[in-house]
Amino acid sequence: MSRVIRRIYGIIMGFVIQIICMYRWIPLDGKEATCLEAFLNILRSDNTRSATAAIYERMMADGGGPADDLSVFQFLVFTASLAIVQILGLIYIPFSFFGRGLMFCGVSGLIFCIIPLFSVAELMYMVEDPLQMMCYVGILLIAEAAVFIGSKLIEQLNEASREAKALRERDRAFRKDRKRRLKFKGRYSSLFYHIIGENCSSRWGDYVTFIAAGSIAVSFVIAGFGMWALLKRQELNTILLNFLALSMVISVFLLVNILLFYLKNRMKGYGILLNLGMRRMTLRFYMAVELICCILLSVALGFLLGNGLLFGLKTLLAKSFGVEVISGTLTERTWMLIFISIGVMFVVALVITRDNYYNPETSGAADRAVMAEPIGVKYNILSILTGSAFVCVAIHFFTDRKVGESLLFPGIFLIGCYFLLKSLWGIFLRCKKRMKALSYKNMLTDNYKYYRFKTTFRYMFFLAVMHTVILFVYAKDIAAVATAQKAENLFPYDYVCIADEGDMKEFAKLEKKGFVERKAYPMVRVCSPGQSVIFVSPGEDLINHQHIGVSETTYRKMCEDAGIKPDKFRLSEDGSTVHIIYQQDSAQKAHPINNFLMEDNPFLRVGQPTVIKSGKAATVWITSVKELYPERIVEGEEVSILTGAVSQGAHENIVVFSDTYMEKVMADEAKELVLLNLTSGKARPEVEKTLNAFKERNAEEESYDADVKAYYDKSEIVPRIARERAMNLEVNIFIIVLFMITGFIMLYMKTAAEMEERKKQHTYLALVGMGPKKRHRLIWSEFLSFLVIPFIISTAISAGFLWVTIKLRMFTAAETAAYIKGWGKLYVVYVLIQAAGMLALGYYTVRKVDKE
Amino acid sequence: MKVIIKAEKLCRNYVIPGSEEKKEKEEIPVIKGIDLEVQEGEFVGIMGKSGCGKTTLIKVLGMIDKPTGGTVFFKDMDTKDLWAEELADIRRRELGFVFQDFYLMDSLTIRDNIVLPMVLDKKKAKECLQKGEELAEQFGITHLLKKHPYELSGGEKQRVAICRALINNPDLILADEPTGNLDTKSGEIVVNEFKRVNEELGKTIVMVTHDPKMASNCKRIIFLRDGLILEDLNRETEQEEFYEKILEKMKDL
Ligand SMILES: Nc1ncnc2c1ncn2[C@@H]1O[C@H](COP(=O)(O)OP(=O)(O)OP(=O)(O)O)[C@@H](O)[C@H]1O
Ligand SMILES: [Mg+2]
Repeated sequence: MSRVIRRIYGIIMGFVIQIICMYRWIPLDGKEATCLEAFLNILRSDNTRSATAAIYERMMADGGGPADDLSVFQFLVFTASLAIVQILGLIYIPFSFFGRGLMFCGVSGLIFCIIPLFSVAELMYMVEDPLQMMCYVGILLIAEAAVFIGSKLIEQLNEASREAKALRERDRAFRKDRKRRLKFKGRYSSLFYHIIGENCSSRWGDYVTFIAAGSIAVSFVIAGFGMWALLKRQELNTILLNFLALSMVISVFLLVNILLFYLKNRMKGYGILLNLGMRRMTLRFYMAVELICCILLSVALGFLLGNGLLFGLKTLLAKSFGVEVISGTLTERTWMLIFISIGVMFVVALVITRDNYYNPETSGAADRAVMAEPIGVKYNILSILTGSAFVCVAIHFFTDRKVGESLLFPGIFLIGCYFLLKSLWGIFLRCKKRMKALSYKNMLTDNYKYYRFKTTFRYMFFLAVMHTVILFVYAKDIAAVATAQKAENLFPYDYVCIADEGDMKEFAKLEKKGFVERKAYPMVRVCSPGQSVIFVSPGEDLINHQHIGVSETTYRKMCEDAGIKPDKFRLSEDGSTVHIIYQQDSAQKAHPINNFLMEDNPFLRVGQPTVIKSGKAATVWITSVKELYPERIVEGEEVSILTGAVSQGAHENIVVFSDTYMEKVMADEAKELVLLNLTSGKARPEVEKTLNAFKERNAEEESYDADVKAYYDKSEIVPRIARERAMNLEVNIFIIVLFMITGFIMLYMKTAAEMEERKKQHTYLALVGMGPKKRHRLIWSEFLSFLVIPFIISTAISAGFLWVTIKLRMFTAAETAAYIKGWGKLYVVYVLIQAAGMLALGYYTVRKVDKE
Repeated sequence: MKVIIKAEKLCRNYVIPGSEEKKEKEEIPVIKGIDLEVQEGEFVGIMGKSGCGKTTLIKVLGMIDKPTGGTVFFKDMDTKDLWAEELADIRRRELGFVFQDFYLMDSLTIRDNIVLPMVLDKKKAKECLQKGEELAEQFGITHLLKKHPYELSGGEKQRVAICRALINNPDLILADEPTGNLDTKSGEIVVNEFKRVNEELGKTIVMVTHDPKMASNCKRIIFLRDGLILEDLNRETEQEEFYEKILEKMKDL
C-alpha cells in the first residue's frame, strides 16, 4: 500500500517540479528561457564569465552598469543550482517509478534549492524584477520541501504500518497461544449440572431470604414512586417526596445487606470449587446466573408486591376520601423512572459489595466469612471532627424558623451522627478492651461487638436511624395532627375580605340588611420575596408572598375583639421594626415569613406584589430585590389566630408596624380588612352574591398568586383542612407500617445470617460447661442490646428534635402537653411492637440453637 | 529425571491488620526463603513442629497460595507467568491436593465430592462415577457415598479428601497430614496406596506428616524449622533404619 503511495507521490511531485522548471523567465537571445536552457547556454559558450554576464546584465534594472565579478559568480551559482534541481527532478521521476531514491532526491533537491537563496539575497537588489526571481525560487523550494516532507511522512507511515502489522501478528500469535494454552474442549456432563443444581438447592433458604428481602426493597421503590405519582397534591407532596427519598436509601441498605448475607453464605463453596480447578470464568458465569436470576425474581415479585401495596393504599384512600383524591396516574414515564431507579439501586448495591465477589480468592475465601472485622483506628479524629461539624450545622439551621423545618437538616444531623458514633463506639470498645479485667468478665457478651464491629455498628445505626425517622418524622406529624385544634376553631369569621375604600359601601349595605355582622380594620398589603423555598435561585422570577400589615393600635383592637391578650412591644417610627403574628395551627410546619437567600431578617415591602423579571445578573438581581423590599427587624413574633388561618401560614400572616409608619404608608396603599360573620345560614346566598361581585372588581388582587384571594370563605377551607389532615394521618401510618416491616426483615436476615456461627458458639460453650440458662442469657443480652442501644440513641435524637419543633411552632403550655402526650402514646406503642419483634427473634434463635 | 516442582528463594508472609497496640500493619514471615526441588517420581515427606509453616509451604507449592517472594516452577514453568485459568487447569488435571481441613462441600454428597474434579474436567458422567466407585472401594468408604460430609467422622472425611485428590490421576499429589485423623491401620492403607501410586504409576507425592512411622515410607524427608529447611534427608537404607534416623532428627526440631 505505502509503496504504491510512494510511487504515485514521487511521480506526481517529479512532474510538478518539471512544470515549475519549465517556466521561462530568463532573457536569452531576445526570448525567454528556462534556467536549464540558460545554464546549458553558458556551458556551451567559450567564455563562461562573459556568457553569464551577458545574461545577467540583461536581467538587471535599467542603468545597472556592467556586472561585477561577485554578482556574475553568484548568478552562475544561481542558474547552475536551479539547473541541477531540474536535472535531479528529471532523474527523480524514473527513480520514483521504481520506488527508489526518494529520500536521496528529496534531500539533494532541497539542498540545491537552498543554495540559490544565498545568491538571491544579493541579486534581488540588482535585477529588474526581484519579485519574479523570488517567487520562482520560493515556489520551487516549496515543491522540493513537499517532496522531502512527503517522503519523510510516507516513510513513517510505512514504518508505522509495518509496526502495526508486527503488533497485529504478535497479537494474533498471542491469541493463538492463548487459545492453545486455554484450550478446554468438550462439554460438561450431566453430572456437572447435577452438582451445580445440588449446590444451589442446598442453600434454598438463602435464595428465599434474598428474593423476599429483594422484592421488598423493590416494592418499596414502587410504592414510593407510585404514591408520589398518584397523590400529587400540594400538602402531601413533601411527605411523599421524603418517603420516596427514604425508601430509596433504605432499599439500598436492604440490598447491600442481602448481597452480603448471600455472598457470605456462598463464598466457601465457591472457594472449594476454585481450589479444585474450576475455571474462574465458569464460576463467574454461574455466580452471575444465580445472582441475576435472584435479582430478576426479586424485581418480578417486588413488582407484584409493590402494585399490591399501591392498590391497597389506593382503595384505602378512595374509601375514606372519595375517588377524586387519587389525582394522578402512573404513566409510562413514572414506570420508566421506577425501573431506572431499581436498576440504579441494584448497581449501587453491587458496587458497594464488589470486593466480596469480584475475586473469590483461591485461598482464604472460606476464611473471609469468619474473619474478624478490625475496629477502625485510622481517620478517627477526622471522623469526629466531620461528624461534629455536620451535627452543629444541622442544629444551627434547624432551630431557626427561616428553614421552615426542612428535613434536610435532620438528615445532615444523622449523617454527622454516623461519623461521630462510629468513631466514638470504636474508641469506647477499644478502651473497654484495654481494661482487661472488665473485658474478660464480659468476654462472652462483648465478644461479638469486637469481632463483628462493622456489622454490629451498621445494624445498630440502621435501627437507630429507622427509629428516629419513625419517631420524629412520622410520629411527630401524626401526633401533631391528632392533637391540633379543630379546623373550625381556626376561623373566627365566616368571611375574610381584603377590600378597598370603594367596596365598603356594599359591605355596609349587607350589614344594614342584617345579613352579616361586620368588622373592619385599616390595613396595607405587605409582600415578601419567595418564602417557602430555602434557596431562591437568582435569575428566576420572584415569588411574592402576601400578608396583612396593620398598625399597633389596630393590632390591639383586633386582639381585644378576638379576646386575646396582645403582646407588648415597641416599634420604631420609621417602620424598620415589626411584630409578626403567624396565623397557622399546630399541625402545620413553622412557616417563616420569608427566608430570602437564608438571610436572618425578613424583607417586607408595603404595597402590591411586584414581579422582578429574570435575566439579570445574580448580584444585580439581589440588590434590586433588596432595594424594593426593605429589610425589617423582627421585634417579636407569636402564633395566634386573629382573622383566621386562611392560608395556613403561607400567606395572610399579620405584620404589625408602628402607628407613625402606618400613617405614612396608608396615604398611598390604604386597604380595608373586612371580617364578616353570617347572622344566619339563610343569608348566605345573598352575601355570596355581593362577594362575587366584589371578587370580580378585585380580579387584579387575585392575579398575583393562585393562593391569594380577594376574600376567603370558611365553609370552603375547613373541610379541605380536615381532609388534608386525615389523609396525612393515613399516609403517615401506612409509611410507618412499611418501615417497621423492613426493619423486622433486616433483623431477621441478620439473625439468619449468623445462625450457623451462633450454633457453633453455643455448642462450644456447652462443651466448655456453660449451662443452658447462662447460654440463653447470652443470646438475650445480645438481642436486648440491639433493642436498647438504638432506642436510646433514637429517643435522645427525636426528643431533641421534637423539642425544637415545639419551640419553633411556639406551642402554648397546653398544646405542648397534649402534643407530648400524643407522641408519647405512639412512642410506647412503637417500642412495644419493636420489643415484641425482638422477643420473637430471640425465641426463634434460642429454639434453633437448642436444637443443635 | 525431570524436575516437577522447584522453589527458588521462596517466601510467604502473612499480613496482620493493625490493632490498637500497633497501628501499622504487621508482616509476619512464615516461609523465609526456601530452595527446593522435587523430581518426578519422588515420594517426599515434610516434617516440622506445629506452626512451622508446613501447610503454608505446601499450599504455595500447590499454587493455591501465592508466594510473597521467590518463584515456584511447575514443570519448568514459572507459575507467575501462568494465567489464572491455566492454574485452574493445572490444579484440576495435574495436581491432587489433600487439605488439612478436608475442604469438602457440605451441599454435595460424598460421591459428588469425590468425582468433582473429574466432572469439572468435562469427563463423561459414567466414567466419573465408575472411577469414583473404584476409589471409594479401595479406601473402604463405599457405604458412605450417599451421605453428606457433615455426617462423617474425621477419618472418613480424610479418606474422602484423598479419593478426591486421586481421581484425576494427577502427576503430583500434595497431601497435608493425610493420616492425621486415622488409626494406624487406616493410615497404613493410605500410605500404602500412596506408595503404590508412587511406585507403580510413577506419580510424585509430597506429604506433610507428624508421624515418623508414616514418614519412614518416604524416599526423602524435608525437615522444616522456623520457615527454613533444616535438613534434607534421603533414604538410602531400609525403612527401619530410616525410621530411627527420623526419630533422631525430630529431636532437633
Ligand atoms: N491466614 C493466616 N494469617 C496469619 N497467620 C497465619 C495464617 N495462616 C497461618 N498463619 C501462621 O503461619 C504459621 C504457619 O502456619 P501453618 O499453617 O503453615 O503451620 P503448620 O506447620 O501447617 O502447622 P500444623 O502442623 O499445626 O498444621 C503459624 O504460626 C500460623 O499462626
Ligand atoms: Mg498445617
